[in-house]
Amino acid sequence: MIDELANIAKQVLVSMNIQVSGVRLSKDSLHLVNSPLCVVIGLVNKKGEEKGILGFEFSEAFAKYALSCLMPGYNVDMLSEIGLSALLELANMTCGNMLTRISPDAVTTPPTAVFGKNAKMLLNTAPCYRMIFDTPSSSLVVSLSVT
Amino acid sequence: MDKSIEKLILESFIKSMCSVYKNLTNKELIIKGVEKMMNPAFKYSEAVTIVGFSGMIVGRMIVAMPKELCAIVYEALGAEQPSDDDLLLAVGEFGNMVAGNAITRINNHLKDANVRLSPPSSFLGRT
Repeated sequence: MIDELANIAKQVLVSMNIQVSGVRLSKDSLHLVNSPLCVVIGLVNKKGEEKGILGFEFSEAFAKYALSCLMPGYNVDMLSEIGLSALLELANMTCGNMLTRISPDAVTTPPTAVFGKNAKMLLNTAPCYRMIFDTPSSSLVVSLSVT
Repeated sequence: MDKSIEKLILESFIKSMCSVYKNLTNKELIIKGVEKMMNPAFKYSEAVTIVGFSGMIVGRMIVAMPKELCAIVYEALGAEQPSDDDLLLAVGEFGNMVAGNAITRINNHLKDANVRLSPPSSFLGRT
């Protein structure tokens, strides 16, 4: 399933003019994050039996590159209101496309952007699958944990 | 949103916060007031947890506390001398307990609300 999710996410990124040169997959025992900017989206199904977290981990270099693809010709800071809004929208769109494949009756909670240099971030205590999208400028990591 | 529903949601989270904290630590929380956030950015550099919820109402709860208070919560959960990793787990567990309690109150009051929680995500800044 992770292969399919990675493929869906790649299609969304490419549709936004973000070039993806390769996709790598990995698995961790905990859903920990090590990037300065992370967008967190909660997942729940309607019965509440399954829930999870989808995390979008942005390095400063990738955020800058993604913003230049989303808004060509403008120099947008990733922590400005418009920059954060664009990155949240990118995460939300990718999540929306992946959602039906994760669970047919899953719904999302509102995306939250968390910024913290040197902060410890634990998105979930469940095992996490990472999809790493290599681009011309750094990588985007999309991570999923489901309980 | 309907004013009465908004009031119910606020009251549910406030009551849950007080009751979960009291149950854990046997101490009362003093409510200083309620403020409406005028800026969507929330800055905090110690222990923070975010719990999202979805259903008839959709949103997120953020609990932010100093590390010292988080250590008190951790010790109340039955352990001593927490490391930073322990504090991350403690603030997440505390947030989950508060949000779970509040959502139960909301689901009991609003028929067909069917509000569900996502897992808690926790963050620990270095000051």
